[in-house]
Amino acid sequence: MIEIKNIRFSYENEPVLEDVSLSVKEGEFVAFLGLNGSGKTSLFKMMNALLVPDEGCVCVDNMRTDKDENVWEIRKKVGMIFQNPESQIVGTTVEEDVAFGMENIGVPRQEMIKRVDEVLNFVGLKEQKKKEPFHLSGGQKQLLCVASVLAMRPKYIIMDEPTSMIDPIGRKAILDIMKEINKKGKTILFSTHILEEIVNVERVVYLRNGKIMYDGTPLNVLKEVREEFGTSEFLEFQFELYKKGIIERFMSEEELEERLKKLANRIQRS
Amino acid sequence: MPIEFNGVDYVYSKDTPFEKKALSDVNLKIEEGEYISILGKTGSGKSTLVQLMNGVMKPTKGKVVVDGILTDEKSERTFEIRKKVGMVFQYPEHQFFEENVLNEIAFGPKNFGIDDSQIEEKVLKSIEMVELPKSTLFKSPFSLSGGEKRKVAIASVIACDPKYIVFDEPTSGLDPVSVKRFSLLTKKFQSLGKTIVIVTHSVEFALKNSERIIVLSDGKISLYLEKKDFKKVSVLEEIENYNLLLPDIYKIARTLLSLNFSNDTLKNEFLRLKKFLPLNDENEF
Repeated sequence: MIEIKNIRFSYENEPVLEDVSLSVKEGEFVAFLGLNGSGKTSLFKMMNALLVPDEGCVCVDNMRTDKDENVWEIRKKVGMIFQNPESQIVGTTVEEDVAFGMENIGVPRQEMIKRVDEVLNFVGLKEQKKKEPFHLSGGQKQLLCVASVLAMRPKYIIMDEPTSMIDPIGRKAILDIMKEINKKGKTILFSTHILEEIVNVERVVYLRNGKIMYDGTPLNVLKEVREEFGTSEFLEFQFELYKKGIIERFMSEEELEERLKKLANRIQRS
Repeated sequence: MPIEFNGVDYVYSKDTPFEKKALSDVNLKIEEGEYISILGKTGSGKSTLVQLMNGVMKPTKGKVVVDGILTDEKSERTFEIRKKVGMVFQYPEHQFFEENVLNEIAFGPKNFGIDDSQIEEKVLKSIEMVELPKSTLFKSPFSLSGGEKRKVAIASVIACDPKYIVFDEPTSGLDPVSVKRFSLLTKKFQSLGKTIVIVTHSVEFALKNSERIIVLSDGKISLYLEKKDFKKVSVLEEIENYNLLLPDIYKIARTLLSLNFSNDTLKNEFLRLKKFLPLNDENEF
């Protein structure tokens, strides 16, 4: 469990996070929304001790992030993926990049070889194993970052706008992998500006000016924030369906399509 | 006058083993004052097309004419073309190099030989246009938030008073409210007589904002769409053939059109919901 209790944090005398409390249980899939500068990135950095709060405390599996002796263990548990894949790739080939992180945490060689294949297979980059990362598309580069983090077997994976620099086709591949990872029981926390991405999760946390304003289901949170954050035609349409009792939660486009087809079929038969 | 492409080819590393054709036989006329989007997946030739528009690159074959000037004319005229065609690249922070926002925005007009006495006025006018507070003028552009950086980048292009403005993936990384604001800003520029060219992957942004869309694929223009086509399901389906994703709401509209909710209250519900779907009157379900 990641537990954040009443934290405050300022940067150059500007408050960045103010009295934030939050807890995330194992296996959750949580989306963080908020306008640029609302504090999402700082909050994420708190969760693997890249930042420590000025006041309050952050615990990962009962280890406080402000204790130096815990930092190593915490960073093994909490993997981080950032917006720009280019800034995270260090290997000269795809497989070396995956191996790099494992080397750092001292995974034995035989085990490393096994895991390289396993994670590259999982994200669909097996064929690219021997390639140089710059030959990959933007979406594939981000998948490589995901693979490299997964290879270290973290319990929690934090992704700060993982899709915002990626084209729509690559974005879909990344989201699909995120869903897969969550299904395997890993905890995923991610931030996004793309509203369509919140239909995949059960919980949305909304930040405004360094404070958590809402924490709930995608539908309930969007209902509150559509004015300030903006909305989309797709979600507005789903709101209407919800109001009429046709759906009970936000769905992905594929799910919704299935639901509508079922409704049409049932009526034709009766 | 328009920007015209006549039978344009562009080949990278010509006559080497690495030769790669990025554009072939592109014919395109961008009219003065219009709002056009260029759609295409990564590697379709979008960036090459854009770089040909302001003389950064010259065509391997064919002609590019900007406002009556051929882009492969010698230096002085290339300078003229660059002043006419303003470019806002995808990641504005890549464009910054001055120590404060004022100098950053003033750089362009200075470079184009605008008189010092007019520069301040140009800078103030352009930050007002993009709605940046005056207090940002003396801040470092690197210290600003993502949204503000983008505004500075746009202001620095506006300050040069270009006739045509080309935006490369302008909405990536922006929240929905900022996308909306950006779209209003481009409309404002258009109402001031500027020609707007948006290069993007976002089918949704293109459909919502432009008057005309072209789709590039494998270096060729594969599709020309006019505003009247934007709501026709059959036309939109063609977009999908070029590895571009249709917005979810369009896919749902298409599904509903294909379904038959005969004689049922549900049918009436969906008819009422139609206003939420991007459909024409001629599309009935």
